[in-house]
Amino acid sequence: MIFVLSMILLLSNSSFAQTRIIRGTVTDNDSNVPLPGVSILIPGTSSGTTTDDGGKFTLNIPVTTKIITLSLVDYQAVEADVTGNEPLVIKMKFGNRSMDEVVVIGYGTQKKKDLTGAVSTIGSKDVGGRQTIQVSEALQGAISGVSVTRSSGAPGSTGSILIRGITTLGTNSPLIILDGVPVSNIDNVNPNDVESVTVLKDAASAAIYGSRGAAGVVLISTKRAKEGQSSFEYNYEYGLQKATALPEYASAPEYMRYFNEQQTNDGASTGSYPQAFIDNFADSNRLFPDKFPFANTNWQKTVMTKDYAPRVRHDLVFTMGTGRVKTKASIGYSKADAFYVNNSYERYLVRINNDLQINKKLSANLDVAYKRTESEAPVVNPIYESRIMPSIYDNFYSDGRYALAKDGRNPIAELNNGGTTKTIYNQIVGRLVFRYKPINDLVLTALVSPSFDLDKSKAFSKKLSFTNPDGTASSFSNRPRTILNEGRNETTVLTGQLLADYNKQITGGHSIGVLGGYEEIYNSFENLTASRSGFPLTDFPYLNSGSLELRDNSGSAGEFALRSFFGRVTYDFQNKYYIQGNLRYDKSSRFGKEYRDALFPSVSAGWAISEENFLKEISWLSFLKIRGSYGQVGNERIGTYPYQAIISFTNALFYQNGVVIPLSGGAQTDYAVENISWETTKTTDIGIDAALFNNRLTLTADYYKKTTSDILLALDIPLYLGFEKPSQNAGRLDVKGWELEMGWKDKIGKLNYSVAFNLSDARSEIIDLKGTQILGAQSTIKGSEFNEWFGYRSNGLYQTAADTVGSPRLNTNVSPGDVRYVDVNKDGKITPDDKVLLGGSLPRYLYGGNIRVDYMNFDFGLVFQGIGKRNSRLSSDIVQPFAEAFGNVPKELIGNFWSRNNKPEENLQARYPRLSTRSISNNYEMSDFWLIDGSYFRIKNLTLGYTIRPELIKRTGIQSLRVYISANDVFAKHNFPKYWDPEVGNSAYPMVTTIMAGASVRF
Amino acid sequence: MACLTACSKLDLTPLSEPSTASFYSNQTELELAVNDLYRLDFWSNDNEQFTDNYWHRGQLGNAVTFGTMNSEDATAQAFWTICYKAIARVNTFIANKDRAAATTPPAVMTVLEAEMRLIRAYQFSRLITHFGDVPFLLEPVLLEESYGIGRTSKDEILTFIFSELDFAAANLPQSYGSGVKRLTRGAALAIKARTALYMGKFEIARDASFAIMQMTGAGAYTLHNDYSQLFLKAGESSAELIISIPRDEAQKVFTSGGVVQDQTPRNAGGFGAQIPTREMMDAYECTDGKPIDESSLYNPQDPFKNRDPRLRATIVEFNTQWLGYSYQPHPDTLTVFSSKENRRVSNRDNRSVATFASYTGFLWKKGIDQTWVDKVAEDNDAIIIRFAEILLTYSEAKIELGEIDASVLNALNLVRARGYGVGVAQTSLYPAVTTINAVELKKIVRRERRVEFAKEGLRYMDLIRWKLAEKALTKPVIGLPDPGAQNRAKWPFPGATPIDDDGIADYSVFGNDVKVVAQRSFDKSRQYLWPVPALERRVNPNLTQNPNY
Repeated sequence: MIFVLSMILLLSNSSFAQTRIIRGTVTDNDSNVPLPGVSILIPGTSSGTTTDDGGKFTLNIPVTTKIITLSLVDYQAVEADVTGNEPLVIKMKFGNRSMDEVVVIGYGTQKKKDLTGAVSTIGSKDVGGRQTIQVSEALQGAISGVSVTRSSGAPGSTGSILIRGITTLGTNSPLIILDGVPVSNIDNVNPNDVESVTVLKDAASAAIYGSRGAAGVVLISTKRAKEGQSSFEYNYEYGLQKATALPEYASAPEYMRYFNEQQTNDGASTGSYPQAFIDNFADSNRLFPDKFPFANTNWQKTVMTKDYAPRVRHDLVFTMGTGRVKTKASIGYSKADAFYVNNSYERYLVRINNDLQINKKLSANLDVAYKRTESEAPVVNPIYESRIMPSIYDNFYSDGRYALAKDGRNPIAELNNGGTTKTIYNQIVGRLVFRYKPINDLVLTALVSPSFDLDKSKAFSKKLSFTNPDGTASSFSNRPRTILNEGRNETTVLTGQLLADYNKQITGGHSIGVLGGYEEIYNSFENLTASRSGFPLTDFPYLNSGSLELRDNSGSAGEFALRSFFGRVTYDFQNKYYIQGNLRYDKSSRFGKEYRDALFPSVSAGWAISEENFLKEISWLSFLKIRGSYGQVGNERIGTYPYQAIISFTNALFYQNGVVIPLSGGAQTDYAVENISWETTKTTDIGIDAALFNNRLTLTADYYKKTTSDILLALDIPLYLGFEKPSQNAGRLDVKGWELEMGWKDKIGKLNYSVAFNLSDARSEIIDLKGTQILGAQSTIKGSEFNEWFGYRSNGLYQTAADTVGSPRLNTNVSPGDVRYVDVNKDGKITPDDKVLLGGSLPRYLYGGNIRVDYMNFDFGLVFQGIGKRNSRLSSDIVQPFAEAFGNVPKELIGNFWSRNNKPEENLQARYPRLSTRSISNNYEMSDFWLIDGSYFRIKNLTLGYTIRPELIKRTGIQSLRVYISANDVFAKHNFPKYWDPEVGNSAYPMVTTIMAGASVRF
Repeated sequence: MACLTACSKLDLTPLSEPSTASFYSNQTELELAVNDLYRLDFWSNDNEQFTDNYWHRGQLGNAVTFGTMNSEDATAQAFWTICYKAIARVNTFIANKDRAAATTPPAVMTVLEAEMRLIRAYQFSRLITHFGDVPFLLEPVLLEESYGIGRTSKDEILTFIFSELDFAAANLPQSYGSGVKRLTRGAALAIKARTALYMGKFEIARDASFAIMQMTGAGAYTLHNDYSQLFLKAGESSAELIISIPRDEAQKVFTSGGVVQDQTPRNAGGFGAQIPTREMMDAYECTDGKPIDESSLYNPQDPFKNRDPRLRATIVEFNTQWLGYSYQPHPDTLTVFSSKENRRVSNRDNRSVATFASYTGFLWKKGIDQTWVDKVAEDNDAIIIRFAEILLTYSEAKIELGEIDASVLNALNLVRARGYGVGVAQTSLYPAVTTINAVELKKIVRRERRVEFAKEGLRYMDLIRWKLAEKALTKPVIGLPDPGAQNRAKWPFPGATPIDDDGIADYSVFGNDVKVVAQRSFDKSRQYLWPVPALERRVNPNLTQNPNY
């Protein structure tokens, strides 16, 4: 910071040539509404300014300057004469110029119309405007071909990103590049600091990232100050989160009745709960509420003490762009709470982006970012606990003491007093870029970016004591001992780049660009854990208060490095014919010396047909380009030392003179495959970009085919080899898919509106796995899709004993009311050999879209997202009773399961099998019996904002004030049981609907 | 120029562990490799819950007793995998050990090799007794070659096991004196005796067990004088133990939480959920040496009286103080005295008070002590083979061979007398076996094995090799009647349970005076062998499957 400040002081001392000051206002050509944020530039220089919220600007220009250029998103660029009377009034004409937008690409930028690869971009409105805490959440449904999967709405939860479906069988997360530097997590940046997100989808665009680009690349640019900007902004937002859906369970007497039915189904002569308990439950509950099993506890209500969990955000943004120094600094704070105590997420994000013009030829960026998150969560998942616990277990005795619940397993006591896990992540990132322009058209860049992660965690699991209903001490406790586990992780990443970028326009319409670069990345990590147990007191979560006898610790470390050369050549002729080639040469420490080098080439071409004379006359066609690309990218993420067999240390115990002594053991646990090397993804992509009706309608469509070969994966090897599954280059996967993006943007008087829609699909097929397989409920075998459902084919439920006898069954216990399977191989018995592929598990036909309307001072936005087709398994948390042998009965089952107490015609309608523990291994095996249509449609965000006119508040020194209300995840349509959210698979924290109100004030 | 950041090198090797490239290069590394296989992971007897001795109230049963065992069974696959892990490690050791030959004294090398070969033979023994024919691997195999491997007949593997154990017995010391206690000659012979008995090679079983019985001097085995102490901390360095794997909470080898609570009384903070069966209770003879249905000493209203003392050492006797509380499941005993709290407390071990108190009415006692409830953890050593098994193996082998002589009776009576806490010669104080009738003796030795080794994981293989699983594991699990249905005059048992020649009890005569709490089933068409894991056969279709899986 001090360094930055002194730089600012130094640089502001320097002076410029003779100048004069001009003032003016920029307004909309039709409505005369002032236009804020217009970029004004003095041609031939990098100096300029930006209009304020009233559309006004002041600019210091050399006396010789006669013309300035103005540009603004969605408006046609204007060159304005500055020799006229002041204040100048400049009008700009609305007209979608999205094809002229500059898009960030690998190690550079390009105009959208010049792109020859499959690249999608969204701007700050689509990221920060979604009002999410995490960037990953904001991408859900925002870009075609990008799927974001969430699994919970817990404080601080994030989404996982997939680009164009899956690419490989291992890690499929895309490479994330933040301002040119690879980062581990997209959510380390404040959504409000994001200027744009660009996704490189095809291999041609991603090939410049070589061995890390196979799963796609996400480029994030953070906001930087512009010339002439000067503001201080404060944003505040308060939100309330409510669960989208909460499961419901059987009542206490119902639970006991079903429990008994299950026991008698399994051969017990009677059930555990006497009929009188069930029949007289209401009376017993009134008279003996403290006596088991007469409680009637709503555990979810007990644990989730808040129906609405608050969430709050503060952002301070300081922007200053004067002459040679431009600074944008932001401090963001967000905090989210849960529906219950002891669970929260707090995050501080600090970012300072400086642009320094050292002299005419030399400029620099100096960025510093700091992230800190603090999260706390109970050591035991209270959601799961509150759902599994049947209502017959008591939460509190009548006098308010914690009840024993299930023999000391009391979710509310555990939540309030059982201890928490606290995790703190700190990340400090620096980025220093020098840009040197020795001659026109050539820019030399050097970048160094160190990043340090310092994480610590502390899990304190406390032992709780209970009392019996009569007040005496109970022998039960929640856990045998109080245990403290602490962890420390340290990661260092160093990135260095050297780039030479040459761009030349040659007369006759030729333009040539050449980029050459060198990059190296080094990553090292070290971690440490320590624990003690047996704490006499439970208020001191520090290791030294624990027992010396029961302590433990461990540590490990590793490092990896990558070194690369790369280059790009672009050429176009008269903005009509484009061709581009990329090449990257990577060397990775993850592979053995002989298998370390890899070359990733790509080529792409485009033809802007609309520039041809024969199409120029068609007035409704503003732009049309067809493009095609082919390229190769790789993947190296298969562990740090996959080609080496590590000797793992163990401890074995022996006696010596009657005393136990530990002696170290060591063994090779993994089978080493020494010739492991890169996996390669080849993508062919054909696409069109079009703009119609004076750029109002834009359309992009792509079809692609990608083939990943030499996939690195831990494949099943014979168990009798005696090793853990090794990673090997093992096969080939094909993915075919298409994407469609459409947008309409127009203006009716003072009403600006836009509609965008995207739709995509990808389907994978395993072409070869070298004869091996990955098997489970989701299997990956030759000819299957990736992670295709694999199990038995069902044929309803057995209805009568006569049906079961002689019918092929998994075992002789299978009885009426159990799931009936098809003897696929017709060998007269049901064995695991009858399992077949049951259809893909990955979502298909992903879509998303948004509608935006601006009218006068109002702005309105709606974002939706959905999945058109998905085979989903009804997980055990949704439909299986008696989890852990005692758990709750989901309400969905009631009246819908096969029962001996039903009439035969009722049983014919039964959706679920009979209640039985013995038959779990038959009924809940993976089969199509449990697959449902998992498609869904969801309103992701609704926002209504109002900006108070500057005139009204000008006197206070405020430039603008915007207030808004907004809601996230408002509504979902799906086929799961009503009380279940389609995005959640198990008893994780529920998805939440968030209702927010916020204000931003700008000085 | 290639030095922008940290002059990063690309030849990076693991920082916190060594890798195979350099391993096995000295004596220390060889010892590390051997030590690894002494871990508890590689040693165990079968789960007693596979048998008619032991029942889990929450789970009701398992793949064996439900008869649901199939080729995707996780237990069978885990068992198979762990055996082959150990085998692979031994094979790698043997293939690479000569790297350290220059720096390791030959005598040390031989002992290390003998330990390793013993461990490998033990793993093959576990495999063939459970799966029959299995892949037979004696050296490191390349992945490409491994797909062609089929199953080798169990007889061929058995021959190999015996010769390996002979090598181990010849090269391992009988005792390590004051040094670290490792596998001994006795251990090699004991595994040989057990394997031979399981596979019906009675001569070999006889000779191997006899060799152990003949041992003298340091490392010779004797029965521990106190049966119940043998399974507690006090017995952990007993001269009866031939192979036992130490467990120690301070060294993180222990069990805590639910599994421990499942075996302790609810009054003391347990769950009483993993419990002895009624069949276990009824398997103990009366002090006259007769089964309960034949003995006049048996009183169903006082079933702990006049019984083999091992009953009271194994199952908690009613109305005795157990872990700080009087144990009395009688439905009318609503409070009990606690010696720990020195007052009467609500009796949670009674189903009138606590719905899920022990369904059979019994709790395990063997191997359990106050520390289990104080720490909700247990770290009893895992006893794999002890001398009593050798004595009974000797008797059984000799009986099966028709070689009934005084040594057979003596071996049996040694075990029996110790159960009564008396000397073998004090025949007035215990029911010494005197019959030389082969049929009778066979019944007695089988009964003796069941009660002597209760909860030690030997019953399962006995049921399998005696072909009794199809009988024992198709009977229902019997519990006490519900408190409301309990005929107080018939507490706790309505009569002497009829027990057949195979020692299998029949409760069908008692009608509603007992309660069926669960059904067992065992598919005799396939379950005498475990299935080859389905995963294995999908990866390598050359492997055949056992019948009917």
